[in-house]
Amino acid sequence: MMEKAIIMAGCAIGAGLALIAGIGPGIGEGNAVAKALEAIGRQPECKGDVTSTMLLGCAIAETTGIYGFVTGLLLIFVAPRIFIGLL
Amino acid sequence: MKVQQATKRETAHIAVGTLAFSVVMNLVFCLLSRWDLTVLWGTLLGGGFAVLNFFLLGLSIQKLAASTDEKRGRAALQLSYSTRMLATVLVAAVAVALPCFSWPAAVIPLFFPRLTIFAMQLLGMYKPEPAKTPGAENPKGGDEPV
Repeated sequence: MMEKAIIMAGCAIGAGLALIAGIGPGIGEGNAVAKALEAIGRQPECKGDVTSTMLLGCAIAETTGIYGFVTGLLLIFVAPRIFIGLL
Repeated sequence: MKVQQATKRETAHIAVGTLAFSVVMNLVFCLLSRWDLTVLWGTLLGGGFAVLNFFLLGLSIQKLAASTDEKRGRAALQLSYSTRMLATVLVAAVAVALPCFSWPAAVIPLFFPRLTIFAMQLLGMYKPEPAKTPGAENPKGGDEPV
């Protein structure tokens, strides 16, 4: 019983830690957009190219947050079953 | 709000790529003898949300690109990111909670936009333009072409 509780607690703590990964992309995307807006302000004729590149870049950056989220999901829903099965 | 050409074009690329990867994922489920209707519904939920998420990202970026206020742009995109991430959590929660969806089939398509961008880079459809430096048009460095 105690072992199960420890496994569940470990998985929950791990999931919480994994979700911290969601903070980084938000900050990074914000910085990227700020710099892109600065670039558009300097060269307005590049607006289309900058928007397109920024869109793909932000999509890539966002996946990092989703990695963390999926890791959290796995730790909550899949890992406890596996670890408890090992007992 | 009018959707810009760049947003439409990139969303179309992502939608096609997500569709292709979804078909591959369903084939893999078939090969593993794990395919049933819940996988299909999960794929539709996850894939549809992945494309919608990208489209919403495009809308926020084109809205931000209209202004040149950096601080406001940064804050607005962070707000947009948080909202979209909450929506992702909601979709995943729905996929886990409802038995009519297979949750792995709903979560895996969330990575397909990134895979699509990677595939686009491999296929040469998207290449970052090299930085234009002064004198790049005339590499010999002379003022007048000879």
